[in-house]
Amino acid sequence: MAFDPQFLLNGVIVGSTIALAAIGLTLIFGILDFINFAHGEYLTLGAYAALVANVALGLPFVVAAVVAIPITVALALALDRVVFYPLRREGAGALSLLITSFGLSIILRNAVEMVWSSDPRRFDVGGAEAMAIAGVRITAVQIAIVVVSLVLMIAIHLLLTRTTLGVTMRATASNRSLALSSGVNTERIVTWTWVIGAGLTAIAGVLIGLNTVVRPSMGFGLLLVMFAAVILGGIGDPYGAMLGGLSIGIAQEVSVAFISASYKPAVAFTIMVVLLLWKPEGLRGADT
Amino acid sequence: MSDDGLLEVRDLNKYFGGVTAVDGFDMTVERNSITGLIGPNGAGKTTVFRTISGFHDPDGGKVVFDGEEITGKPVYEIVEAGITRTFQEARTFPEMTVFENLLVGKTGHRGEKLLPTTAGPKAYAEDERAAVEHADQLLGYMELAEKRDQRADRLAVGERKLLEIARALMTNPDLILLDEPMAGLPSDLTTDIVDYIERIREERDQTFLIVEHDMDTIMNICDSITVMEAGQTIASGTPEEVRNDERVVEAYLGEESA
Amino acid sequence: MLEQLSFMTSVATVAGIYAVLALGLNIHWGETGLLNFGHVAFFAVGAYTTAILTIPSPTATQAYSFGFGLPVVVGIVGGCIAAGLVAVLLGIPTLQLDEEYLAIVSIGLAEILRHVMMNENWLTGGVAGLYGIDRPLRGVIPPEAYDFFYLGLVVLAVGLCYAYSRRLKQSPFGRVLRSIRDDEEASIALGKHTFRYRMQAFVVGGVMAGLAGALWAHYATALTPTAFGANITFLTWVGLIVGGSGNSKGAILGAGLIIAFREATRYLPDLYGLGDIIPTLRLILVGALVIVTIRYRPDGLLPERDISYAEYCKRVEYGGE
Repeated sequence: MAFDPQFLLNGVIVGSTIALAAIGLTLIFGILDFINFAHGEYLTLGAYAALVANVALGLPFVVAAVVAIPITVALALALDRVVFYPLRREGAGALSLLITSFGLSIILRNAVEMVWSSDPRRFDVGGAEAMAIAGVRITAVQIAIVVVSLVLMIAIHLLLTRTTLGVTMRATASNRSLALSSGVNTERIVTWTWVIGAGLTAIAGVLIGLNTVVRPSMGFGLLLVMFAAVILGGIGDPYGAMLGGLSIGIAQEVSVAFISASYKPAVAFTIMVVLLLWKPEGLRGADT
Repeated sequence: MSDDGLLEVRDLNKYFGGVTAVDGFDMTVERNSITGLIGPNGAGKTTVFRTISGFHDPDGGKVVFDGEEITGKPVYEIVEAGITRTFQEARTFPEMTVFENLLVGKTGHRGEKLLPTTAGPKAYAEDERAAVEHADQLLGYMELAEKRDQRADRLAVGERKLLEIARALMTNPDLILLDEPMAGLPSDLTTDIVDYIERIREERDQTFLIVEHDMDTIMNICDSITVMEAGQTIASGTPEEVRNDERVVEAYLGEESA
Repeated sequence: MLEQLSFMTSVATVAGIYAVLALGLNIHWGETGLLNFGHVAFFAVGAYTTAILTIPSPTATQAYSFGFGLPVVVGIVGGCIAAGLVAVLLGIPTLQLDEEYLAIVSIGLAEILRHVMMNENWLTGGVAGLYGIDRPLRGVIPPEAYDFFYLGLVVLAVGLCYAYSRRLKQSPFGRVLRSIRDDEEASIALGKHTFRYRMQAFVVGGVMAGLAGALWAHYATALTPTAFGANITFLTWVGLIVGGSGNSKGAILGAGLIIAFREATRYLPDLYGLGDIIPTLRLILVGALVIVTIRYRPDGLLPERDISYAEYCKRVEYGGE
């Protein structure tokens, strides 16, 4: 069977959006030292914020997408204040935070469903006509998705390497024993982590909604894939998350050539489990 | 066996990524001794400690205990062979009582297997009785009997250190590895711990290996001291010999000026 | 009156099945500190296994290809064993790592199993599901008394799981599990093979969830993938946390409360015309309940109790008084 490059292209499109969301997840995991199970819902919220601005308020799509970012960030910060900060202050363990985020995930997902119903929705945007370039079909929207993702990844790279804040974040995220415990200005770093993490995730939600549809379960459905990307890339490593997201996206889409499309998540899952079996000591972080 | 030391460490190597933490380290712990392992920060003491106790796999070299090679074995086999370690920060089980903390230390307990547990308490009553007797006896010995039914997290720090040593004794070890047992203690408590260690060595025929950063703390208690720097043994001998060794003085001076 | 009795019986039966689920999760999380976020996977495997083992061979019109027509008892035992095997497979890559990895992998496995249920028609009947599942002693018990009989069966299962949980907790085995939960590295330092203990606890809890699934299959008599969503895991967790993790009585109490809450809110739409927002509103409340409990009452309604030496003596019967 000849390999169809179309699958690879689809993989790059899906993978770059997953990568964006995974950067947020891995930074929060690394810096706040807990896995945020509500991360997928931030993605959903971003998509719905843009949807409301675009479809209900009639704003142009690009404006709506930009508006979605501060809304999602504000929500994430408010939720952190109300839900996570009190636990952090009391020195609750990572597992309390994790279970709390699990509860938060249920609340957000169902709140979205209550307000907008579970019907899939679409953005009001043109550019859906596929054009053929070098034997593969791609729409203008899809080109935009890849370009936006790449630009954002480069921006994140600059932020993490050229600013004091970024360097501190990277150092904190990659060393879990250092996370939060070392104490200098940590709440400020926490705030910025949410801003960057939720902002990127909101854009990922908008782009994924653009590529497919917007629905209340979209973020939860991607949680597994995002986790797989984070684990593949190494916890707390934003570059790893980019690479992990792209690889998982490509692996999933290419797998469609061989197995039923409904098993796409199983591909991410299998990669994750194989990795856990193969390199567990690397995943536990460096020991001393 | 070349020596009749209880523990022989030969040419031990351990790397983390590209960094060499332990680089051909040698040491001997004589039976029924209190031996110290000291060195400046970053010398590799902790890595050696963790490798002997089975928490790290070495990348080279040999650890021989009581004539049996234990290099790279899992912790449960090393404990069975007769080496039990403690932690610098006295890690007791916080939500369990002092007594239960000790009972967990019992090794080879039938009641810790799933099948006898399923069969019911009668299937392991004998082992449990032995564990209870042993624990009570140790509580008396370490003067913790009054605290018996208190939760471990309500103990004072000195008591937690004693509890941890008592819990290590529950495993019937031949060699106890102590990780900075005096760290974080006021001086009167330090004296207490030293007294206990000496008493246990004498009355219960135990051997101790103490890892310590500060040389003065263990000068008086150790029969023999090994000093390491940059992953290597730089001196070993009696406290007197080590104290006057040029390389040791240099290593510690270097640290002070840094 | 009779209608109400029948309603109460069905609520109690479902609550009992959730109590078994919660007792299983309590062994995982409450006793051992294992973050299992895919509890529904064991439940589903137990249910589908007993269904496949006990339904008659398929006719030409049916989607599934296997049906062994075995006795219900064989089916239930098979369901438990299958759930235990899933626990082993899930445990191998995760139980040597930090707690978070089990959470991630278990939630993933549950999701993938749901896809398998929906897509593998030959095995699970696909979206249409499996139906016509036999009920134990169907011809023997008079139909009007059958629901009571089944409730009795479920209560028996709850009783057995409760008794076994207690036996584990009070044994030296349970003591080691708690030591792992408290400080795994310290437990390792005492020579405990903690991976083996975690695995055993994981299997025991998984088998209990499998039993709950088998009981559900023979109660519902039909299985469809939609009945095995992540919400089952959520509800079990909420029940355990609210009731008191680490306490078997708390697990049962919590499961009972959460099912009572679910059933009680079922009739709100008719009363207040709230229509179809009730299912989502209910889950929002349940999620809020988790957050509030973790924040203000992390030990739940029935906190785990410290065990004194006197209790040990009584239970191990070597007369320590």
